[in-house]
Amino acid sequence: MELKWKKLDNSNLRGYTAVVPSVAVGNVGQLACDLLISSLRMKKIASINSIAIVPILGYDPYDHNTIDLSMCCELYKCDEKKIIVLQLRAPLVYKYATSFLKQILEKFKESGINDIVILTSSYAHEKKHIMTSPFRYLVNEYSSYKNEIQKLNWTEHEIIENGIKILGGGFASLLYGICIEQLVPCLILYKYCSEGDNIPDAYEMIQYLDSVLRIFNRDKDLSSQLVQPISWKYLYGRPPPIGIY
Amino acid sequence: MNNFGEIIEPSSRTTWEDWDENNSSTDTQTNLQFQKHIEIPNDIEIFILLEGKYLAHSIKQNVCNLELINSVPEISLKIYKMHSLESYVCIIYDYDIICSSEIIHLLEKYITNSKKVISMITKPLVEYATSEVCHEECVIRRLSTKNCKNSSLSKYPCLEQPNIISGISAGVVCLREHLDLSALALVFYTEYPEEHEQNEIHKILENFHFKFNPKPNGILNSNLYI
Repeated sequence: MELKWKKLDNSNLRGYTAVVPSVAVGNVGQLACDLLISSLRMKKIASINSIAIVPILGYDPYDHNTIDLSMCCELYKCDEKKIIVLQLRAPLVYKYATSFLKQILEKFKESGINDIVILTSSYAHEKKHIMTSPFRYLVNEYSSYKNEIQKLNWTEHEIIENGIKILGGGFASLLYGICIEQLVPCLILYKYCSEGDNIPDAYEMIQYLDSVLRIFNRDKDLSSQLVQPISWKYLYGRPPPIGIY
Repeated sequence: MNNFGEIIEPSSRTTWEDWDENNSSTDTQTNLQFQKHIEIPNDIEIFILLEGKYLAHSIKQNVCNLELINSVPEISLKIYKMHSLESYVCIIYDYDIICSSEIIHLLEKYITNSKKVISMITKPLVEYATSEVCHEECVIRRLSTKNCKNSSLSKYPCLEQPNIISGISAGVVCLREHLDLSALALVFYTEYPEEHEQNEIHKILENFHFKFNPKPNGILNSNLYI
Protein backbone atom coordinates (compact mmCIF):
# COMPACT_ATOMS: atom_id res chain seq x y z
CA MET A 1 0.00 0.00 0.00
CA GLU A 2 1.49 3.29 -1.10
CA LEU A 3 0.48 6.80 -0.08
CA LYS A 4 0.07 9.28 -2.92
CA TRP A 5 1.12 12.75 -1.81
CA LYS A 6 0.18 15.86 -3.71
CA LYS A 7 2.38 18.63 -2.39
CA LEU A 8 1.21 22.20 -2.84
CA ASP A 9 4.11 23.70 -0.91
CA ASN A 10 7.71 22.54 -0.47
CA SER A 11 8.56 24.60 2.57
CA ASN A 12 10.73 23.36 5.39
CA LEU A 13 8.86 21.81 8.35
CA ARG A 14 11.85 21.41 10.64
CA GLY A 15 10.87 21.91 14.28
CA TYR A 16 7.12 21.89 13.63
CA THR A 17 4.59 20.10 15.82
CA ALA A 18 2.16 17.82 13.98
CA VAL A 19 -1.38 17.68 15.35
CA VAL A 20 -3.25 14.55 14.27
CA PRO A 21 -6.92 13.93 15.10
CA SER A 22 -8.05 10.37 15.56
CA VAL A 23 -11.54 9.66 14.25
CA ALA A 24 -13.29 8.90 17.51
CA VAL A 25 -16.43 9.40 19.65
CA GLY A 26 -18.16 12.63 18.68
CA ASN A 27 -15.34 13.48 16.25
CA VAL A 28 -13.88 15.76 18.93
CA GLY A 29 -10.31 15.60 17.62
CA GLN A 30 -11.41 16.44 14.09
CA LEU A 31 -13.63 19.31 15.28
CA ALA A 32 -10.74 20.70 17.34
CA CYS A 33 -8.47 20.51 14.27
CA ASP A 34 -11.12 22.28 12.20
CA LEU A 35 -11.13 25.06 14.82
CA LEU A 36 -7.33 25.28 14.72
CA ILE A 37 -7.19 25.43 10.92
CA SER A 38 -9.92 28.02 10.73
CA SER A 39 -8.72 30.19 13.63
CA LEU A 40 -5.06 30.23 12.59
CA ARG A 41 -6.01 30.57 8.89
CA MET A 42 -3.75 27.63 8.17
CA LYS A 43 -2.58 27.00 4.63
CA LYS A 44 -3.19 23.70 2.85
CA ILE A 45 0.21 22.28 1.89
CA ALA A 46 -0.62 18.75 0.75
CA SER A 47 -3.34 16.21 0.18
CA ILE A 48 -2.95 12.48 0.56
CA ASN A 49 -4.67 9.76 -1.44
CA SER A 50 -4.56 6.18 -0.25
CA ILE A 51 -6.49 2.92 -0.19
CA ALA A 52 -6.56 3.36 3.61
CA ILE A 53 -8.89 6.35 3.37
CA VAL A 54 -12.63 6.39 2.71
CA PRO A 55 -13.10 9.00 -0.06
CA ILE A 56 -14.88 12.25 0.83
CA LEU A 57 -15.32 15.22 -1.49
CA GLY A 58 -16.63 18.75 -1.09
CA TYR A 59 -15.57 22.33 -1.63
CA ASP A 60 -13.13 24.05 0.77
CA PRO A 61 -14.75 23.85 4.22
CA TYR A 62 -12.97 26.99 5.44
CA ASP A 63 -13.67 29.37 2.56
CA HIS A 64 -17.01 30.10 0.92
CA ASN A 65 -15.54 31.96 -2.02
CA THR A 66 -13.43 29.28 -3.58
CA ILE A 67 -13.80 26.44 -6.01
CA ASP A 68 -10.95 24.42 -4.49
CA LEU A 69 -11.94 20.86 -3.74
CA SER A 70 -11.35 19.42 -0.33
CA MET A 71 -10.66 15.74 0.23
CA CYS A 72 -10.47 13.25 3.03
CA CYS A 73 -6.88 13.67 4.17
CA GLU A 74 -5.14 17.04 3.96
CA LEU A 75 -2.14 18.70 5.59
CA TYR A 76 -2.32 22.32 6.80
CA LYS A 77 0.42 24.51 8.25
CA CYS A 78 0.84 27.67 10.26
CA ASP A 79 4.35 29.12 9.95
CA GLU A 80 3.91 31.59 12.78
CA LYS A 81 3.06 28.92 15.36
CA LYS A 82 5.16 26.16 13.73
CA ILE A 83 2.21 23.78 13.67
CA ILE A 84 0.93 21.42 11.03
CA VAL A 85 -2.44 19.65 11.17
CA LEU A 86 -3.19 16.41 9.38
CA GLN A 87 -6.96 16.75 9.02
CA LEU A 88 -8.89 13.53 8.39
CA ARG A 89 -12.53 13.71 7.36
CA ALA A 90 -13.34 9.99 7.46
CA PRO A 91 -12.11 6.99 9.43
CA LEU A 92 -9.20 4.92 8.19
CA VAL A 93 -9.82 1.43 6.85
CA TYR A 94 -8.69 -0.80 9.71
CA LYS A 95 -6.67 -3.33 7.73
CA TYR A 96 -4.57 -0.61 6.04
CA ALA A 97 -4.29 1.72 9.05
CA THR A 98 -0.95 0.52 10.42
CA SER A 99 0.79 0.83 7.08
CA PHE A 100 -0.84 4.24 6.46
CA LEU A 101 0.21 5.64 9.84
CA LYS A 102 3.76 4.26 9.54
CA GLN A 103 4.18 5.97 6.18
CA ILE A 104 2.75 9.23 7.49
CA LEU A 105 5.17 9.14 10.42
CA GLU A 106 8.06 8.31 8.10
CA LYS A 107 7.23 11.37 6.02
CA PHE A 108 6.97 13.55 9.13
CA LYS A 109 10.39 12.35 10.29
CA GLU A 110 11.90 13.06 6.86
CA SER A 111 10.47 16.58 6.97
CA GLY A 112 12.05 17.19 10.38
CA ILE A 113 8.80 17.35 12.37
CA ASN A 114 9.63 17.78 16.05
CA ASP A 115 6.78 15.93 17.73
CA ILE A 116 3.26 14.56 17.35
CA VAL A 117 0.15 15.49 19.31
CA ILE A 118 -2.83 13.15 18.88
CA LEU A 119 -6.28 14.52 19.71
CA THR A 120 -8.99 11.98 20.40
CA SER A 121 -11.93 11.08 22.63
CA SER A 122 -13.29 8.12 24.56
CA TYR A 123 -16.77 6.96 25.55
CA ALA A 124 -18.14 8.98 28.47
CA HIS A 125 -19.34 5.77 30.13
CA GLU A 126 -15.75 4.50 30.30
CA LYS A 127 -14.77 7.23 32.77
CA LYS A 128 -14.26 5.43 36.06
CA HIS A 129 -13.48 8.30 38.45
CA ILE A 130 -16.46 10.55 37.98
CA MET A 131 -15.20 13.46 40.09
CA THR A 132 -12.07 13.94 38.00
CA SER A 133 -11.59 16.07 34.87
CA PRO A 134 -12.97 14.52 31.65
CA PHE A 135 -9.55 14.98 30.02
CA ARG A 136 -6.73 12.47 30.06
CA TYR A 137 -3.25 12.53 28.62
CA LEU A 138 -0.56 10.07 27.70
CA VAL A 139 2.97 11.12 26.90
CA ASN A 140 5.98 9.08 25.86
CA GLU A 141 9.46 9.39 27.27
CA TYR A 142 10.77 11.32 24.25
CA SER A 143 8.28 14.16 24.61
CA SER A 144 9.37 17.49 26.06
CA TYR A 145 5.87 18.25 27.40
CA LYS A 146 6.14 15.84 30.34
CA ASN A 147 7.32 18.39 32.94
CA GLU A 148 4.95 21.08 31.72
CA ILE A 149 1.97 18.71 31.98
CA GLN A 150 2.96 17.62 35.48
CA LYS A 151 2.85 21.28 36.53
CA LEU A 152 -0.64 21.58 35.04
CA ASN A 153 -1.79 18.72 37.23
CA TRP A 154 -3.65 16.87 34.47
CA THR A 155 -4.91 13.33 35.02
CA GLU A 156 -2.82 10.70 33.30
CA HIS A 157 -4.37 7.85 31.31
CA GLU A 158 -4.39 4.63 33.32
CA ILE A 159 -2.40 1.94 31.60
CA ILE A 160 -3.97 -1.47 32.13
CA GLU A 161 -1.90 -4.65 31.76
CA ASN A 162 -3.02 -5.33 28.15
CA GLY A 163 -1.36 -2.19 26.87
CA ILE A 164 -2.75 1.19 25.91
CA LYS A 165 -6.46 1.12 25.20
CA ILE A 166 -8.58 4.20 24.66
CA LEU A 167 -12.05 2.78 24.03
CA GLY A 168 -13.78 4.64 21.21
CA GLY A 169 -10.53 6.50 20.52
CA GLY A 170 -9.96 5.13 17.01
CA PHE A 171 -6.35 4.79 15.87
CA ALA A 172 -4.86 6.97 18.66
CA SER A 173 -3.24 4.14 20.61
CA LEU A 174 -2.02 2.51 17.37
CA LEU A 175 -0.25 5.71 16.27
CA TYR A 176 1.12 6.20 19.78
CA GLY A 177 2.65 2.71 19.62
CA ILE A 178 4.23 3.46 16.24
CA CYS A 179 5.67 6.70 17.63
CA ILE A 180 7.29 4.75 20.48
CA GLU A 181 8.71 2.21 18.00
CA GLN A 182 10.18 5.01 15.90
CA LEU A 183 11.39 7.09 18.88
CA VAL A 184 9.14 10.02 17.99
CA PRO A 185 7.99 12.32 20.81
CA CYS A 186 4.24 11.92 21.17
CA LEU A 187 1.43 13.23 23.35
CA ILE A 188 -2.15 11.94 23.32
CA LEU A 189 -4.83 14.24 24.66
CA TYR A 190 -8.36 12.88 24.94
CA LYS A 191 -11.74 13.70 26.43
CA TYR A 192 -14.47 11.42 27.71
CA CYS A 193 -17.63 12.41 25.85
CA SER A 194 -20.74 11.14 24.09
CA GLU A 195 -22.09 11.60 20.60
CA GLY A 196 -24.17 14.75 20.26
CA ASP A 197 -23.31 18.40 19.91
CA ASN A 198 -19.55 18.06 20.41
CA ILE A 199 -18.61 21.64 19.55
CA PRO A 200 -18.13 22.57 23.25
CA ASP A 201 -15.83 19.53 23.59
CA ALA A 202 -13.73 20.81 20.69
CA TYR A 203 -13.41 24.25 22.31
CA GLU A 204 -12.27 22.64 25.56
CA MET A 205 -9.84 20.45 23.67
CA ILE A 206 -8.25 23.53 22.11
CA GLN A 207 -8.01 25.11 25.54
CA TYR A 208 -6.10 22.08 26.83
CA LEU A 209 -3.92 21.95 23.73
CA ASP A 210 -3.14 25.64 24.09
CA SER A 211 -1.90 25.12 27.65
CA VAL A 212 0.90 22.98 26.24
CA LEU A 213 1.57 24.37 22.78
CA ARG A 214 0.88 28.04 23.60
CA ILE A 215 -0.78 28.79 20.31
CA PHE A 216 -3.10 31.67 21.19
CA ASN A 217 -2.60 35.04 22.83
CA ARG A 218 -2.79 34.64 26.64
CA ASP A 219 -3.82 38.28 27.14
CA LYS A 220 -7.07 37.79 25.28
CA ASP A 221 -10.01 35.52 25.92
CA LEU A 222 -9.36 32.24 24.11
CA SER A 223 -12.89 31.72 22.77
CA SER A 224 -12.80 35.18 21.17
CA GLN A 225 -9.76 34.07 19.18
CA LEU A 226 -11.39 30.91 17.86
CA VAL A 227 -13.17 31.06 14.51
CA GLN A 228 -15.68 28.37 13.60
CA PRO A 229 -15.26 27.10 10.03
CA ILE A 230 -18.12 27.78 7.63
CA SER A 231 -18.57 24.02 7.25
CA TRP A 232 -20.02 23.93 10.78
CA LYS A 233 -23.16 25.62 9.52
CA TYR A 234 -26.00 23.06 9.71
CA LEU A 235 -23.65 20.66 11.53
CA TYR A 236 -26.62 19.32 13.42
CA GLY A 237 -29.26 19.63 10.72
CA ARG A 238 -31.10 22.24 8.69
CA PRO A 239 -33.16 24.98 10.31
CA PRO A 240 -36.80 24.00 10.94
CA PRO A 241 -39.14 24.48 7.95
CA ILE A 242 -40.94 27.85 8.01
CA GLY A 243 -44.22 26.11 7.24
CA ILE A 244 -44.50 24.63 10.73
CA TYR A 245 -45.06 28.04 12.38
CA MET B 1 -37.34 2.34 21.68
CA ASN B 2 -34.35 1.76 23.90
CA ASN B 3 -34.24 0.56 27.50
CA PHE B 4 -33.11 2.70 30.39
CA GLY B 5 -29.33 2.88 30.46
CA GLU B 6 -28.95 1.28 27.06
CA ILE B 7 -26.39 2.99 24.87
CA ILE B 8 -27.46 3.40 21.25
CA GLU B 9 -24.83 4.56 18.82
CA PRO B 10 -26.04 7.04 16.19
CA SER B 11 -26.65 5.32 12.87
CA SER B 12 -23.89 7.27 11.12
CA ARG B 13 -21.30 5.34 13.11
CA THR B 14 -22.67 1.88 12.52
CA THR B 15 -20.89 1.55 9.18
CA TRP B 16 -17.48 2.11 10.71
CA GLU B 17 -15.26 -0.68 11.89
CA ASP B 18 -14.79 -1.59 15.54
CA TRP B 19 -11.33 -0.39 16.52
CA ASP B 20 -11.70 -1.47 20.12
CA GLU B 21 -11.89 -5.18 19.37
CA ASN B 22 -8.96 -7.09 17.96
CA ASN B 23 -9.95 -7.09 14.32
CA SER B 24 -7.17 -9.33 13.11
CA SER B 25 -9.64 -11.33 10.96
CA THR B 26 -10.04 -8.37 8.61
CA ASP B 27 -6.39 -8.66 7.56
CA THR B 28 -7.14 -11.91 5.84
CA GLN B 29 -10.13 -10.62 3.89
CA THR B 30 -9.76 -11.21 0.19
CA ASN B 31 -9.48 -8.17 -1.96
CA LEU B 32 -12.21 -7.43 -4.48
CA GLN B 33 -11.58 -8.70 -7.98
CA PHE B 34 -13.17 -8.44 -11.39
CA GLN B 35 -14.68 -11.66 -12.76
CA LYS B 36 -12.62 -11.49 -15.94
CA HIS B 37 -9.11 -10.36 -16.73
CA ILE B 38 -9.49 -8.01 -19.66
CA GLU B 39 -7.22 -5.45 -21.22
CA ILE B 40 -8.21 -1.87 -20.38
CA PRO B 41 -7.59 0.54 -23.28
CA ASN B 42 -5.13 3.39 -22.79
CA ASP B 43 -7.32 6.02 -24.35
CA ILE B 44 -10.92 5.89 -23.21
CA GLU B 45 -13.01 8.82 -24.38
CA ILE B 46 -15.37 9.04 -21.37
CA PHE B 47 -15.71 7.04 -18.17
CA ILE B 48 -19.14 7.41 -16.59
CA LEU B 49 -19.90 6.20 -13.09
CA LEU B 50 -23.53 5.79 -12.06
CA GLU B 51 -23.96 5.20 -8.36
CA GLY B 52 -27.11 4.30 -6.48
CA LYS B 53 -30.21 2.17 -6.91
CA TYR B 54 -32.21 4.77 -8.80
CA LEU B 55 -29.61 5.24 -11.55
CA ALA B 56 -28.82 1.53 -11.72
CA HIS B 57 -32.44 0.48 -12.04
CA SER B 58 -33.78 3.22 -14.28
CA ILE B 59 -31.23 2.65 -17.03
CA LYS B 60 -31.87 -0.08 -19.58
CA GLN B 61 -28.80 -2.28 -19.36
CA ASN B 62 -29.90 -4.93 -21.87
CA VAL B 63 -29.57 -2.82 -24.98
CA CYS B 64 -27.24 -3.29 -27.93
CA ASN B 65 -25.44 -0.02 -27.26
CA LEU B 66 -24.26 -1.26 -23.85
CA GLU B 67 -22.05 -4.33 -23.76
CA LEU B 68 -21.38 -5.88 -20.36
CA ILE B 69 -17.65 -6.49 -20.24
CA ASN B 70 -16.91 -7.14 -16.58
CA SER B 71 -18.41 -7.26 -13.12
CA VAL B 72 -17.80 -7.72 -9.40
CA PRO B 73 -20.97 -9.48 -8.17
CA GLU B 74 -20.25 -9.07 -4.42
CA ILE B 75 -20.71 -5.31 -4.70
CA SER B 76 -23.17 -5.20 -7.66
CA LEU B 77 -20.59 -3.51 -9.84
CA LYS B 78 -20.92 -3.80 -13.60
CA ILE B 79 -18.72 -2.33 -16.31
CA TYR B 80 -20.25 -1.73 -19.74
CA LYS B 81 -18.73 -0.57 -22.96
CA MET B 82 -20.89 2.01 -24.67
CA HIS B 83 -20.23 1.64 -28.38
CA SER B 84 -21.84 4.85 -29.60
CA LEU B 85 -19.59 7.10 -27.48
CA GLU B 86 -16.45 4.95 -27.22
CA SER B 87 -16.90 5.18 -23.52
CA TYR B 88 -17.10 2.94 -20.48
CA VAL B 89 -19.91 2.96 -17.97
CA CYS B 90 -19.64 1.66 -14.43
CA ILE B 91 -22.86 0.99 -12.52
CA ILE B 92 -22.73 0.27 -8.81
CA TYR B 93 -25.38 0.39 -6.11
CA ASP B 94 -24.78 -2.02 -3.27
CA TYR B 95 -21.47 -1.78 -1.48
CA ASP B 96 -20.02 -1.14 1.96
CA ILE B 97 -18.62 2.40 2.13
CA ILE B 98 -15.54 1.02 3.92
CA CYS B 99 -14.68 -0.78 0.65
CA SER B 100 -14.89 2.42 -1.44
CA SER B 101 -11.14 2.99 -1.58
CA GLU B 102 -10.57 -0.64 -2.65
CA ILE B 103 -13.18 -0.26 -5.40
CA ILE B 104 -11.47 2.92 -6.59
CA HIS B 105 -8.21 0.98 -6.64
CA LEU B 106 -9.94 -1.67 -8.77
CA LEU B 107 -11.24 0.98 -11.21
CA GLU B 108 -8.00 2.98 -11.21
CA LYS B 109 -7.02 2.20 -14.82
CA TYR B 110 -10.44 3.17 -16.14
CA ILE B 111 -10.29 6.39 -14.15
CA THR B 112 -6.78 7.37 -15.16
CA ASN B 113 -6.93 6.23 -18.81
CA SER B 114 -10.00 8.30 -19.66
CA LYS B 115 -10.03 11.74 -21.22
CA LYS B 116 -13.22 12.69 -19.40
CA VAL B 117 -14.60 11.30 -16.17
CA ILE B 118 -18.14 11.93 -14.96
CA SER B 119 -19.71 10.46 -11.86
CA MET B 120 -23.37 10.72 -10.90
CA ILE B 121 -24.99 9.93 -7.59
CA THR B 122 -28.46 10.33 -6.09
CA LYS B 123 -29.01 11.38 -2.49
CA PRO B 124 -32.19 12.03 -0.49
CA LEU B 125 -33.26 15.68 -0.59
CA VAL B 126 -33.39 15.84 3.24
CA GLU B 127 -29.62 15.44 3.30
CA TYR B 128 -29.13 18.64 1.29
CA ALA B 129 -28.01 21.27 3.80
CA THR B 130 -29.24 24.73 2.85
CA SER B 131 -30.96 27.64 4.55
CA GLU B 132 -33.17 28.21 1.53
CA VAL B 133 -36.57 26.59 1.19
CA CYS B 134 -36.45 23.94 -1.54
CA HIS B 135 -39.53 23.77 -3.74
CA GLU B 136 -37.87 21.60 -6.36
CA GLU B 137 -38.29 17.83 -6.49
CA CYS B 138 -34.71 17.43 -7.63
CA VAL B 139 -31.72 19.65 -6.80
CA ILE B 140 -28.71 19.11 -9.04
CA ARG B 141 -25.28 20.22 -7.88
CA ARG B 142 -21.79 19.78 -9.29
CA LEU B 143 -18.31 19.13 -7.96
CA SER B 144 -15.54 19.58 -10.49
CA THR B 145 -11.78 19.44 -10.48
CA LYS B 146 -9.65 22.50 -11.20
CA ASN B 147 -8.86 21.26 -14.69
CA CYS B 148 -12.47 20.62 -15.65
CA LYS B 149 -13.37 23.24 -18.24
CA ASN B 150 -15.96 23.69 -20.95
CA SER B 151 -18.18 20.84 -19.94
CA SER B 152 -21.87 21.17 -20.78
CA LEU B 153 -22.52 19.98 -17.23
CA SER B 154 -20.64 22.97 -15.79
CA LYS B 155 -23.87 24.95 -15.98
CA TYR B 156 -25.07 23.30 -12.78
CA PRO B 157 -24.24 25.20 -9.58
CA CYS B 158 -21.38 24.03 -7.37
CA LEU B 159 -22.29 21.97 -4.33
CA GLU B 160 -22.40 24.45 -1.47
CA GLN B 161 -20.49 23.86 1.76
CA PRO B 162 -21.02 22.09 4.10
CA ASN B 163 -22.50 19.48 1.73
CA ILE B 164 -20.15 16.68 0.79
CA ILE B 165 -20.28 13.38 -1.02
CA SER B 166 -18.53 10.17 -0.05
CA GLY B 167 -17.87 6.73 -1.49
CA ILE B 168 -17.10 5.76 -5.08
CA SER B 169 -18.38 8.94 -6.76
CA ALA B 170 -16.22 11.00 -4.43
CA GLY B 171 -13.23 8.68 -4.87
CA VAL B 172 -13.32 8.91 -8.66
CA VAL B 173 -13.12 12.72 -8.60
CA CYS B 174 -10.57 12.74 -5.74
CA LEU B 175 -8.22 10.54 -7.72
CA ARG B 176 -8.52 12.69 -10.85
CA GLU B 177 -7.98 15.90 -8.83
CA HIS B 178 -4.95 14.29 -7.23
CA LEU B 179 -3.50 13.63 -10.68
CA ASP B 180 -4.44 17.12 -11.97
CA LEU B 181 -6.90 15.60 -14.45
CA SER B 182 -10.41 16.76 -15.20
CA ALA B 183 -13.47 15.16 -13.64
CA LEU B 184 -16.95 16.16 -12.65
CA ALA B 185 -19.45 14.73 -10.19
CA LEU B 186 -23.16 15.47 -10.37
CA VAL B 187 -25.19 15.04 -7.21
CA PHE B 188 -28.94 14.60 -7.62
CA TYR B 189 -30.79 15.38 -4.41
CA THR B 190 -34.26 13.96 -4.93
CA GLU B 191 -37.30 13.67 -2.74
CA TYR B 192 -38.04 10.11 -3.82
CA PRO B 193 -34.66 8.74 -4.91
CA GLU B 194 -35.89 5.23 -5.62
CA GLU B 195 -39.42 5.45 -6.92
CA HIS B 196 -40.24 8.46 -9.05
CA GLU B 197 -39.23 9.16 -12.58
CA GLN B 198 -36.96 12.19 -12.55
CA ASN B 199 -37.20 14.04 -15.83
CA GLU B 200 -34.21 16.27 -15.16
CA ILE B 201 -31.97 13.30 -14.47
CA HIS B 202 -33.26 11.51 -17.57
CA LYS B 203 -32.52 14.55 -19.74
CA ILE B 204 -28.91 14.56 -18.58
CA LEU B 205 -28.52 10.83 -19.12
CA GLU B 206 -30.11 10.98 -22.59
CA ASN B 207 -27.21 13.21 -23.67
CA PHE B 208 -24.99 10.21 -22.96
CA HIS B 209 -27.20 7.92 -25.11
CA PHE B 210 -28.78 6.03 -22.19
CA LYS B 211 -32.21 4.41 -22.60
CA PHE B 212 -34.63 3.99 -19.70
CA ASN B 213 -36.68 1.23 -18.18
CA PRO B 214 -40.41 1.89 -17.89
CA LYS B 215 -41.56 3.54 -14.68
CA PRO B 216 -41.57 0.93 -11.86
CA ASN B 217 -44.91 -0.31 -10.61
CA GLY B 218 -45.41 1.61 -7.37
CA ILE B 219 -47.90 -0.90 -6.02
CA LEU B 220 -45.13 -3.42 -5.45
CA ASN B 221 -43.43 -1.01 -3.07
CA SER B 222 -46.63 -0.17 -1.26
CA ASN B 223 -47.67 -1.84 1.93
CA LEU B 224 -50.87 -3.14 0.36
CA TYR B 225 -49.70 -6.47 -1.00
CA ILE B 226 -46.64 -8.68 -0.74
